[in-house]
Amino acid sequence: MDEKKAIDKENPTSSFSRRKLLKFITAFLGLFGLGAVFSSTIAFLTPPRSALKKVGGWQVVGNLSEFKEALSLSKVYFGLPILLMKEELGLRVFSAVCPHLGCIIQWDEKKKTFLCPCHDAIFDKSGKVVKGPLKDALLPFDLKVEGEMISVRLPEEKLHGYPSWFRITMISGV
Amino acid sequence: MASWTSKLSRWAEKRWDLKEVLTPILDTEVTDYKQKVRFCWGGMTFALIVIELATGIFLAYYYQPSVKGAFQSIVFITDQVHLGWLIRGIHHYASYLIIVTVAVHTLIVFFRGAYKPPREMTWVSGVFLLLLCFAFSFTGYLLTWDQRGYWATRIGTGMASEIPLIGEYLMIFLQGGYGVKQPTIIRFYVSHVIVLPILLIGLLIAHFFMIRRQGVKEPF
Repeated sequence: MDEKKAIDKENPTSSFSRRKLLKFITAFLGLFGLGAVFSSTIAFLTPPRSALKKVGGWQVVGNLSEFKEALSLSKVYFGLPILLMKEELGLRVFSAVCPHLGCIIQWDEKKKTFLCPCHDAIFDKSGKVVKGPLKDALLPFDLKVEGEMISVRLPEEKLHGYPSWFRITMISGV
Repeated sequence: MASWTSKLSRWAEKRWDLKEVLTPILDTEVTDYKQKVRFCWGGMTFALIVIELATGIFLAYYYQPSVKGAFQSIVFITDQVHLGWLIRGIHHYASYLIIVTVAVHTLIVFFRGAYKPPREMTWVSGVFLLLLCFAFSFTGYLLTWDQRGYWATRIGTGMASEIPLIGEYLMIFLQGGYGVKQPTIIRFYVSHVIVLPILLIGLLIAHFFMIRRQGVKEPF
């Protein structure tokens, strides 16, 4: 301590000496360097945009003639389970992933409802919740028929409002 | 005629003067109260960690971190490799035991008040070690690539995705993309066998160094 005081006496402008300035600059550059290393590491580990494959667009999933045997068909759209329905409301397609926690719902032909086996959620034939631990309706898919071929498309604009895991599952496929 | 062990020790002593280094480390009195079971849970956890590291190295010789190879290679380890079922079984069950011993260890330290100064940094390093144990469990669970591991990971990353603002980014960061797929296996594998062990060993050294310098908190 004494030694330091002695140096300070010799140098009356020691409140902001050259040494302090150099220390400050070194600390600043050091922090800057650490920040650069840290942020670059995070950026390296973040998957690049080109690797983020999204699901979308029209895909042929079935044929009208298949409805001769059943009124509901389980199909797959880019790895996502979907249900094709033919009833009085016409031809309809729903995501079979329950928006509650992701179990696969099934159509109950006797009761004319969708049933999720995990937490007993029940949806009516338009996809609205009748009973269960959630509020989100089943996600309807866009649909078009060309000749006999049934094509469906994920409606990304309708995903708004669903939980984020559900949105990400839908746009990524399973 | 001196025994071969004393010859060996004299040979080593002459070169590196080991007594000077080892005596302060090894010549420590173990007092009576430390022999009680309640002081053993940290040591038990460490013993299990050593078992995990050893069996993990064995498993890494055969395990394939890929969508097609993961489950097949584990079946191969279990059914074909000599003693593979044993190594894998030990790695599997010791991982469950670690969660038990580390939980008991944490609770005992907490209720004895052993986290109080001057041992607060031992506690802090211990909390990070506890989190590391959970990280090991979470990353290891996916590697079997069966239904349980896959869905447990979907639930885990799904929970991360519910964090406001950064949720979706965090999920993509953890999974290496949208969905739990090939990039996720590689990510979890590298974390499980390289990144987390390095952090674990570093933190353990700090944890043990502080315990040896300060000693265990004495009973009331």
